[in-house]
Amino acid sequence: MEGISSITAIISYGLGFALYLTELLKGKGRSSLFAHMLTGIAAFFHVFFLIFWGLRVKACPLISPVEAIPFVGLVVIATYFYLLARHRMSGLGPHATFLAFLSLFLSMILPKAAPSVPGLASHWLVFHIAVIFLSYGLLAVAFSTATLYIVQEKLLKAKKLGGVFRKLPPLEELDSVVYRLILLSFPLLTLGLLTGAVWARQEWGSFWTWDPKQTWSLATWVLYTVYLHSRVVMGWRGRKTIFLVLIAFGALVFTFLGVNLMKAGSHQFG
Amino acid sequence: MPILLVGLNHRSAPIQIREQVAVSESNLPSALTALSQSCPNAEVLLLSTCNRSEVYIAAADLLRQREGILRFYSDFFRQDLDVLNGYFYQYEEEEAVHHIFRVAAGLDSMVVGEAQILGQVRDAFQGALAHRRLGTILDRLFRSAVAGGKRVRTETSVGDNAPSVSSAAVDLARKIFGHLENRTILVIGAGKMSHLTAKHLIATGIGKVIVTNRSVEKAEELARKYQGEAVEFERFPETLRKTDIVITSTSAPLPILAKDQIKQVMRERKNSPLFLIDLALPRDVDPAVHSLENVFLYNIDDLQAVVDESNEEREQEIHKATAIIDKEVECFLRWLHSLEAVPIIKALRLKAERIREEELRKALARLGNIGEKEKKVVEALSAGLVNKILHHSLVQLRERASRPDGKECMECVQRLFGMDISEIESQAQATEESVCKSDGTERTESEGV
Repeated sequence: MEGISSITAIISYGLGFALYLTELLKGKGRSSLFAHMLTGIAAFFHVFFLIFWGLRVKACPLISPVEAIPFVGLVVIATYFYLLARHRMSGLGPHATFLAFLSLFLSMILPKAAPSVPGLASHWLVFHIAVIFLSYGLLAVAFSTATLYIVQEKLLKAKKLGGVFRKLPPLEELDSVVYRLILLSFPLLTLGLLTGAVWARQEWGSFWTWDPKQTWSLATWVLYTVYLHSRVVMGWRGRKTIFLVLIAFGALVFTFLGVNLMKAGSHQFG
Repeated sequence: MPILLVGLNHRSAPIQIREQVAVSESNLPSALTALSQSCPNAEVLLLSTCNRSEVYIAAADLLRQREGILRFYSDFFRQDLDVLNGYFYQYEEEEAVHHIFRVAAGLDSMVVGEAQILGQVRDAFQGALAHRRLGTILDRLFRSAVAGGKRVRTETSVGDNAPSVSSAAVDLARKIFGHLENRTILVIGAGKMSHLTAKHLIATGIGKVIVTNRSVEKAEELARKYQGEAVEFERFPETLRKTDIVITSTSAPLPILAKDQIKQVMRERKNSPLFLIDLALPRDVDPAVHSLENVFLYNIDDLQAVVDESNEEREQEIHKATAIIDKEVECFLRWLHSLEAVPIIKALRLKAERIREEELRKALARLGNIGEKEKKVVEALSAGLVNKILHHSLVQLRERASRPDGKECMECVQRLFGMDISEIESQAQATEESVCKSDGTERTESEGV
């Protein structure tokens, strides 16, 4: 069942992505109902997949990063549906379906983690991973929205107002969605960082060891802090703050995947 | 049965003429009564809107019906026919069918693609339906035309508003700011274009309007008109800090807004977006301003380019709509032509039935005294033979009639079975009259479809 759910979800996401993308590029075709339905079906199987996985390993399927990736994908889709209902942001469709697709696909091809190290299975750890990945999902959507902002701003400057332009929401709305998503995920990210430190103290006797994962996540956190600072305290708007969001997400992806691929540090989970 | 349309619209007749022949909703029944008296033995429908007045007829003798329609226009509206005649257009058959499909889709309207006409066509249809003057043909024609109009509406975007420079400016403002309720607009100068654009923007429910002009009186007058606030011309740069949209159209020979000035303003506004609409010639705003972050400067040419692009896309949508209509018209005409086979089929049946009766009578006479059962068997035999032989050819005939070579096929059948054309036509006449007389039943029949 787990495999069937995952394959069904992957295929539906893929089809939804293709449909969203053609609709977006054509700039016409008012109804994306079919694409929404495909995405809905995919999300349904996505949830099933996570439940079956959880039942099989008899735990919350969040222990290793590989297991957490589909969870991030689901957060992305849930956020997308919220934005769709609230802001009619169908322009995010390709991003959301692609990220969800990718999350399931990666969890399929990446080697499954070995049974978790006994020491790792602490409540702190589950909480740490849950908040981190929740914030990652939200930040992924913030990043996607930021790319739409960049495109929209480029088109307005170039005065090319046909096609894609028509499908995109107003510039200020994109800006405010990016801002609110980051505002929402920032406490989670901070909490993730703190619980990580607490857990490190339990395991290794020290809050901070400057291992690459810790260093990079701190850098990511600092970048998002700079964005929020410039937005909230300085009141700055526009392209530069959005670029900051793009860079910060780059750092986040590196923290998430890059550091692990370099195979260094104690976040290797066995 | 041929279809005829006589009418006039906004292209063929000026408003003075159109208003003379307009029929209000309450007048429709009496107009339909007058019309059906002028056009006896015909299906009639009257479509009257502020931009058109058209009479649709389905009847055998179009020439007489045409006179009837003209008589209706001159008697009912008390108009001089010689005057009216110059404004009428007249379409028959396929052209008339095509016309009503175009009308229902809004392609024949003054504002192409407007949606109101579809409702008006439906109302005209309902009116004629209530008046019991519709037969099979007009009933089917108008149902198909309304369905076609709906298809055009859902499958194309011809219904979107026709673009103009001021609507393009409003669309752009929406694309930058989203809702405009909390936004402030500054109107500099008092050109006609800027007035139109400002009016358009204010109609969207913009938050606050500030007006400035070299002449204080003029500024105050405009401020009253827009229910906004007037500012002295020398002091307008101060308001830029709190403004989101600026419309300029002064007759100043040199730019009144320079890049450095806007750069400073943007710093003060902390980069929140600024939309500048420069409608002046020569231009009021230094074009270099557009390169500043979050500043969007559009001049009249830029807006015109947006309009042109939308017009081009609109053109494509109209093409799409026309293609849909062509398909629907073709579908209707196929059905209409298949009707042409009906008199021949009837005549053929009648002929066969006569032969059968004749031969049956002869055979029974020759057999002499036989029982009821035997009589029945012989009768069933004759009926079975006739039906079996005719069945396939009648189905084929009905099908062939809707094809281009239908006429030849029907002539061939006539020759094969030795049927007289004039005889068939008089038969057709008889059936048509029965259609018109019994149009009440025809109506309920077609409603069930």
